[in-house]
Amino acid sequence: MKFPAFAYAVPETIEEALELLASDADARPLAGGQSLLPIMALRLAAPSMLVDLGRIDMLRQCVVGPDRMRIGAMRTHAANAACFDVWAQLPLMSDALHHVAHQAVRNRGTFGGSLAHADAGAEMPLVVSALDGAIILRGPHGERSVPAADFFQGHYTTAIEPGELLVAVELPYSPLQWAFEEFARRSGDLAVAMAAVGVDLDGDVCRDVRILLGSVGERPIRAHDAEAFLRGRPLTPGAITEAGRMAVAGVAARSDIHADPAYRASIAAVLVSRALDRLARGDF
Amino acid sequence: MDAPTAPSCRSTGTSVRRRGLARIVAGKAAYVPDQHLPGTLDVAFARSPVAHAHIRSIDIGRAAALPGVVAVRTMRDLPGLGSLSSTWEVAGQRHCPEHALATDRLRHVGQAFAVVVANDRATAERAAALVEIDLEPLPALLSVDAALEPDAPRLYPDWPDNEAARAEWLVGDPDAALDGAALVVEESFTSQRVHPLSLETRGILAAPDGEGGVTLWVSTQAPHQVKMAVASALGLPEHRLRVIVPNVGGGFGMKAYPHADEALLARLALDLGRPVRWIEDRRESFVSSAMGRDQRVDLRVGFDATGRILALDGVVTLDKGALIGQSSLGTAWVGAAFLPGGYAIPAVRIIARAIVTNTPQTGAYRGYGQPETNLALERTLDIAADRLGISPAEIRQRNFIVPAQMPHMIATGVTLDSGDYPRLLDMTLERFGYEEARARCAAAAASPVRRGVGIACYIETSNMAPSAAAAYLGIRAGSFDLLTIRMEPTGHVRIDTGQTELGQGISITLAQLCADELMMPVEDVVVAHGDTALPAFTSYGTAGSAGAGVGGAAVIKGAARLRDKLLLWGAHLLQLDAAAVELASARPLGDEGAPRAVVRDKADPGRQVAVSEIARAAYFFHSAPDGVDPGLEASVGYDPPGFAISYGAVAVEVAVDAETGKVAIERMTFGHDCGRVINPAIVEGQISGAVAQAIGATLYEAARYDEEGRPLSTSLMDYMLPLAADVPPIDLVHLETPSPLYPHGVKGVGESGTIAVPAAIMNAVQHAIGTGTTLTALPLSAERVWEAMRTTAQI
Ligand SMILES: Cc1cc2nc3c(=O)[nH]c(=O)nc-3n(C[C@H](O)[C@H](O)[C@H](O)COP(=O)(O)OP(=O)(O)OC[C@H]3O[C@@H](n4cnc5c(N)ncnc54)[C@H](O)[C@@H]3O)c2cc1C
Repeated sequence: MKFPAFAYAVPETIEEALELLASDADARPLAGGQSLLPIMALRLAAPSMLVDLGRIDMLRQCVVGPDRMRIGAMRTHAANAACFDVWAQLPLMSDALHHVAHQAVRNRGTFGGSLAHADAGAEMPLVVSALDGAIILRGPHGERSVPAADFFQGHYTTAIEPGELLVAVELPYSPLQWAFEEFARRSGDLAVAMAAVGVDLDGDVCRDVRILLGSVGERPIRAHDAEAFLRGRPLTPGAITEAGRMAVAGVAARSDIHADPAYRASIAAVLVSRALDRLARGDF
Repeated sequence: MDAPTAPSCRSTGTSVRRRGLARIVAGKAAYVPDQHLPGTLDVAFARSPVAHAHIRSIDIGRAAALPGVVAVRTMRDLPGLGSLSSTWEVAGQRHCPEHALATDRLRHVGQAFAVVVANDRATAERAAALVEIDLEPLPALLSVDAALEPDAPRLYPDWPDNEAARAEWLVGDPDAALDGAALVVEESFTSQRVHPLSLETRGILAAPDGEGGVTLWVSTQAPHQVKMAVASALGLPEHRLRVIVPNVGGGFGMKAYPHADEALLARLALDLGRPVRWIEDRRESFVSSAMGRDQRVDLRVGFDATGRILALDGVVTLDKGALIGQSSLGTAWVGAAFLPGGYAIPAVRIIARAIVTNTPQTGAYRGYGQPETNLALERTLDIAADRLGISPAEIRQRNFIVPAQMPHMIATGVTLDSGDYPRLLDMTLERFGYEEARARCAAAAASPVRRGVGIACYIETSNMAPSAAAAYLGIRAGSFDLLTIRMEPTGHVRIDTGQTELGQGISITLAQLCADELMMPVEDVVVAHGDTALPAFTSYGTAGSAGAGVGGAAVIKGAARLRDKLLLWGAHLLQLDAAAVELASARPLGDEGAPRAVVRDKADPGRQVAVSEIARAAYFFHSAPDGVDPGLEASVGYDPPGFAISYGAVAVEVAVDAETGKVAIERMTFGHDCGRVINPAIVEGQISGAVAQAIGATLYEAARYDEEGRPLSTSLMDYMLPLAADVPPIDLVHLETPSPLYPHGVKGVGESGTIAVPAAIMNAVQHAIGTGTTLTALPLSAERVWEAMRTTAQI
């Protein structure tokens, strides 16, 4: 199908972009276009104006601080995947980026676009939630920082208010060792289920642990019970299996054409166990 | 003195590079959407939102008022526009005329009920959304089972039920044989509905020719059938129509037949006096083009204690969707006729039936019914082998028809022309390392990654022939080819063929055959195709794996005719008797250059005249042999003598993740015999491409509908084709048994790769997960395999 008609603007500064968005309630920011353009071609969205963020250099910057990194919204998946600092300081993100789409899509798709789009099956929302990142939003009335836990509200739903731009993400360096596991139908597909698991091990005893499930619910889910169960416990095969089971116990998994809820939950449990198993074996 | 005879310059049997590949890869090849005619209007359709309803009224007012819209039409506004009748017309079949737009009823989601013509496609789409329709909903039948309920509403009120067509075969006494069998395996196997999904969707450009006729550019496999169908629907004599086929980005059977929208576009072009264009988009292709497969095979097979098949009793049920369409019962018919495969089965009862439902129509897709029935029998053989305690390879060897029995007519009346089925299976398994692989699998029985090995054998029909047989099958077309071969005044050759180049490489194949026949280099032969104005005609379209067999044999016949003329002319120029000369490939005396075709004195080979000189003489015609016409041209018709049956054996090794059910195909050995191989690279390409499609249909693809009959997959985001990483390396084993029926010994190969791969993979997955739950349904999605393992574990 063909796009519905729309106006197109290419601002060079964030302020200009915000003005354009304020001028038209049906205007939408355009980042890499890897999600928005297909949706428009299917006529599932018909924005009156596209505000192309591609020429705003500020949005591509990456600031590497001593305890955190601030990554601009318009950094592409490819740029982040090739970034030494991301690899060195945010290995979880580095790992997960390998599962995002295919090279051609990673060359265009952006970090900010992925978070703003908030597909339940996307990797970056899970990573940002796992690392307790903060999403920096700028609107007509200034900037605010929203913790990941509040930012992702559902499949395609976030805390971004009309007229606001996602400008950057702040990701603290985690003291935990992380493992990322994903199950997709084919390589490069959105996840059927994924797990991000971080541990701080003392020998084989779990001093601290953080477990998040992606694509199981409408937004990233933290497995508090499984975390509590593991804290202070050795990572034995039995504990690992049990933690996987607990991580999905009581979770109402979502259903789509790719997987039924029971299958999804079962896969998620397997992924949590596999991640824990890798961490226990020091394979990360 | 003798001129040195050149070493053999045969090009058949070698992988001559296809022409124009670089342009295709660089995106420079021109398809239907790349044809630009000034003033072209774009077409979009208003399509049904519901699966089944009466149309009370259609209001085109708002759509027609949109600026940029040139015309909006419903069937009511197109008086005299006829419908298409089926290409397959089996005895007793019911009828439903195929109209481009719905008349009084909507029978599936996406059925077109109005057409919009506008200055551009975006406007046409906007207007299509403004066409208003008043509907009276009817109950929707979304499955064969629902349509077969005794009190089910009927899709076509003038039919007694929802069965569109049926055929039956009965040989021997299958009931008695089953009663006496040591083992009876009874299962129901389903091959899900899939989308043929050519990367280029369908497309039509129609332009008035200014003289009351129309020229159509169509992405099709069957230009002559399109011409015939459009002429008939428009009431135009056929010489007023011309169909041109530019580059085609795949067809896979889906483009093998005419479509009613082709007639509609031609009519709109005539009515509006301007070129009109419809390029199907991906999303609408899920409702506007025929889907593939969607067959269930209910099978009972009886075995004696040694694993020999005693009898087979099967029902092949095809979900036809809402239209009988062009292929009617075809895919179920072919599936049923080839169900016995290469095995000797004394008693057989098979019923093939097509049932209409409120879903988009199904039709031809590479394999044409054969993968579906192959799945049923090849799975059944594995199940029987397991129960009888013999190996899957052994049970097949015990049932094969052997070379001494060839040619052999199987129970359904199909004659297997030639081949060595036992040997090819042995060769394939040896290359694969079958016994070692099975041992490896046994060792992995309890590990988190299970391993399995599966095999399956197939036969593939090609060249549905002769034309009299097509008549017997109820096909309203012949099987033959007409073509023209012309030698130009420079001695170069041009073939005008009715076969269509779809990316499969038919043109180079034909050029190779012709070059060898005329003993000239293949570079000196060009092939013109894809235009009904050419002096050529292909009766059944480029389908049924018949291009190389029928088109190729026709080329050989035409080239032989041309060779005879060359000999007459050569003898004339050498002042010899025609019987005293021969065609040869030779270097001119004292010349180190490339060999060239010459006519020479058999007794004194140094006395020769180059074919290029003959050509010039034939076009000057200053002096000519008696009774010979000017020029050098041969037009021939060739009706193929019969089916050429290819066959093969597939072995695969899979790894199954015991916790997720995900299947990885680790390797595949594909043994095949398609008779004489003209171009090995093309044969390999045909097999690999078809195998990739078969892997898709086995593991990933499924065209599903929600409870309202709306398609759940409408894009490549949710319709999962296999990606490059999902297709394993394919190790090909070749055996060449020339078909005795054909001058070049060729059998078709286009569909081979699709047929036995699903069964081989399913057999391998079953082997990997153990036999607790019997796998019978495609696709083997990870979720389905996981379910099967879970159930098995609970047993
Ligand atoms: C074939 C294919 C496979 C894919 N596979 C995956 C996968 O495996 N995993 C995965 O995570 N993703 C996948 N994607 C999606 C891809 O990662 C996209 O890049 C991403 O979802 C959106 O990023 P984008 O830059 O293209 O955003 P766009 O498509 O331009 O925008 C997406 C949405 O976000 C809004 N938006 C964008 N930027 C901003 C901003 N700065 N502030 C406010 N709103 C904004 C837009 O208005 C729009 O609503 C796939 C895409 C394709 C085409």
